[in-house]
Amino acid sequence: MKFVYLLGLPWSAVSSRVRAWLVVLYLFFAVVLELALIFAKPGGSIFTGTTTKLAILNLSIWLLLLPNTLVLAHDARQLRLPSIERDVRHSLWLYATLSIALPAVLFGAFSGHTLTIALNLILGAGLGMAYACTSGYIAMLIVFFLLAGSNFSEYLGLPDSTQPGYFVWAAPTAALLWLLVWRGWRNAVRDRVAPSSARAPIVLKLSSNAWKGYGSDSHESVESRLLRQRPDWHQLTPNLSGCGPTHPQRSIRLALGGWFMPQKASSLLRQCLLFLVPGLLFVAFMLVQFLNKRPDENWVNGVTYGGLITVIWFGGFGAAMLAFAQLSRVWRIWHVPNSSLALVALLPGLDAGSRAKPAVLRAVIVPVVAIQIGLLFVLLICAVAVHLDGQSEWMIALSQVGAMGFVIAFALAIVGGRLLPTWAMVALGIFGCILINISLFTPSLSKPGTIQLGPTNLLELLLFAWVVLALGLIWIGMRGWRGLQARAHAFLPS
Amino acid sequence: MNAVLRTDEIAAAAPMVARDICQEFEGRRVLDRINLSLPAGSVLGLIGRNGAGKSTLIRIMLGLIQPTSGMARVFDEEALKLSDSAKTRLAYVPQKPDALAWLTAEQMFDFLARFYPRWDAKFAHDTLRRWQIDAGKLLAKLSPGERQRVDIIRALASQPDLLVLDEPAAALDPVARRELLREIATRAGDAGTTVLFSSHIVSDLERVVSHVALLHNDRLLLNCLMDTFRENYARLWLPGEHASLAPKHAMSRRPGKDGSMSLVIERDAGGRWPGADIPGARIDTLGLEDLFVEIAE
Repeated sequence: MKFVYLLGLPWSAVSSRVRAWLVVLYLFFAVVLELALIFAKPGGSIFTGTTTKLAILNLSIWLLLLPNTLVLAHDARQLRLPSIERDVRHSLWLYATLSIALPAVLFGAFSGHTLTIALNLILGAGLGMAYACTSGYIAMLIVFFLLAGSNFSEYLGLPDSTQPGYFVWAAPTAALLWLLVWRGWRNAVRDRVAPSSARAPIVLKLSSNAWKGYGSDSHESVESRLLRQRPDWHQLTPNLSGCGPTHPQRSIRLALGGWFMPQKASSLLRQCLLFLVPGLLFVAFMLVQFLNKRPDENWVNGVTYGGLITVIWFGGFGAAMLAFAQLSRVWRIWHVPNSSLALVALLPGLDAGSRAKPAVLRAVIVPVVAIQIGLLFVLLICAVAVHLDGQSEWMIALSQVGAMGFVIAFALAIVGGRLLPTWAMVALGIFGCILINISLFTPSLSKPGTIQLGPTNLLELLLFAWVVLALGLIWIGMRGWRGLQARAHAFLPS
Repeated sequence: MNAVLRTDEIAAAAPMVARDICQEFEGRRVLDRINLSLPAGSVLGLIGRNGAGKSTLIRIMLGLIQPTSGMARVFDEEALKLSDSAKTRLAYVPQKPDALAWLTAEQMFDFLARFYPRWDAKFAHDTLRRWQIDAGKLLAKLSPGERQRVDIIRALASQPDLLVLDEPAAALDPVARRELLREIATRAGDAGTTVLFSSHIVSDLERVVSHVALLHNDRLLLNCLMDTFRENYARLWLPGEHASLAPKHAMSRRPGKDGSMSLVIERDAGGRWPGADIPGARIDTLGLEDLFVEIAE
């Protein structure tokens, strides 16, 4: 009975909806993994396939399911329920026995590599647990080292699990990961870090509902919470010069906040660097991967081609992300109860009725679309430089114009108070995202000099989908525009 | 400490009026035919339980929400289409003062001063210092009480003719609350500022308001001068054996476990308490808090 209770404890630490999603995810994992192993290594031994599957399954369990027990342990400590905290520890030991010790012993008995298998499994579990039970910064470092390890393994000369010397780097790495887990767990359970702080473990942060409009503290908006979490060097520095009744658009931008508010040059530079540094690291990884795959390729050509393709991917994806970031911000301001709208609505000098309506639209739309237009030019220059054919260039341009269309149509719908039901917005958003990604990645994934969009019917299908999306966006935009005209002023909540 | 209402101000046009306001959210009625006006220079306390619709009514009266039906006017203009000149005379402190969280108090005041011609920068600066609030700290990083105080300073610094405060004292400590009430009384008494003050901390309101309005079950049950309320409303208690004789018209009636009856009654046209002559009847004077509890319970 105790065994079943301990086994079920991590599942009871998540909501029924998350439980259902986890089950679906594990089934999906199982199918994908099975297929991947069948196709990737048709001649591989059953042993290799099974242990690989186990390691990945282990990682997913220790990444998605078991870290939730930290929330349970934290709450149990806060509620002075030591028995539950103890049960959580016992449950984790049980899962460690079942997912690490038992498979290692069983498979070790057949293969004679008990320690190697155990280390593999400990490493996978530690990786998952460390990602979820440490702060976002450490989690980012973990991902970075993981990417670096996989991309630079040949240069670093790290032996894999079948080679001698594997223990020399794998054992200390596993120890370090579990040390991070222990430290993160201890600090969180003993309440040394607030769940909303930047140093809080990711799993604890997610449980505090920060992603919703308002968190558990009804007096605190998500905006305030995010701003408080950010360290000072990461804060935006507003530029108040030029703001006032004579410049309504600039004033509204400042009142709406976010990336697109008027900022000092140093602040803009800091924000750009924050995006560029990880971007450049990604470019480096992509280049290494490119050169690994095509060792016979001329180095300079490879670097140029890989760099330009990466700029296309990053730029295209960046434009879509900008659209998403701005729209979610505008939606939050106009939809979730907050005092920002009230303050701007009652601000004299903006003439909320006639002058403010176009000013609001410009403040919401122009900064994003201007950057997107800039990116479009950069992307087209890169596309020409890597000799993509005309159709491919059109596809890339379409993806960018599509992202701009989303910004304009949805901004009009939100500000005009004519939002579609959430399911329709999400469905359209997913449809647009898929379309943008296909249009962006299909041309650039082809071999240099032989860019093809695949079968002609794919191109026709894509164009048809774009026409459907464009008609949908035009309809949403016009509906929003009419709504805005009918509104008494531009700052009524949606 | 209560604000004194001058007769010439009573005669002036009401700076804020709600006429037959109805509001529905997702088919549920939250305000039902509300009529309310603030005489110039008055301090009106709007009381009601949590979720009674106080904030919604205030937001409608300021033109921040479009009502399902009815109309609100501010300084004789339609609330939804306020002119800039009306806005310069108006200040509003919301229940959750989370606007411009990405600015410091200093930056926020610098920004807003550009829009309000009567902005009192010295008052803003001095009050920030007196209340020991770090002017260079990001608003998001201030405590809820500090944030609320910054917003109150912001509202007062614009020197409004009409000040609307939605639960302004909720996050304040007793010292800050007392200071706020003193400021409101001074502004109303000396400068003739009209104030609408919603709160469920009824003891605060009792110190400062000249008028009182009670919102309950979507309706405005009471809207009168504070002095009128004190003189004209009382609690009538009847013993169990005479509870059946209770007057028909009462603002609320609450039966006791022993069969007794407690009612909130209003003087009749002749100035008498209805039911006072029933044998065993007892008339108790009512404080605002008593009234609130009697009706809301």
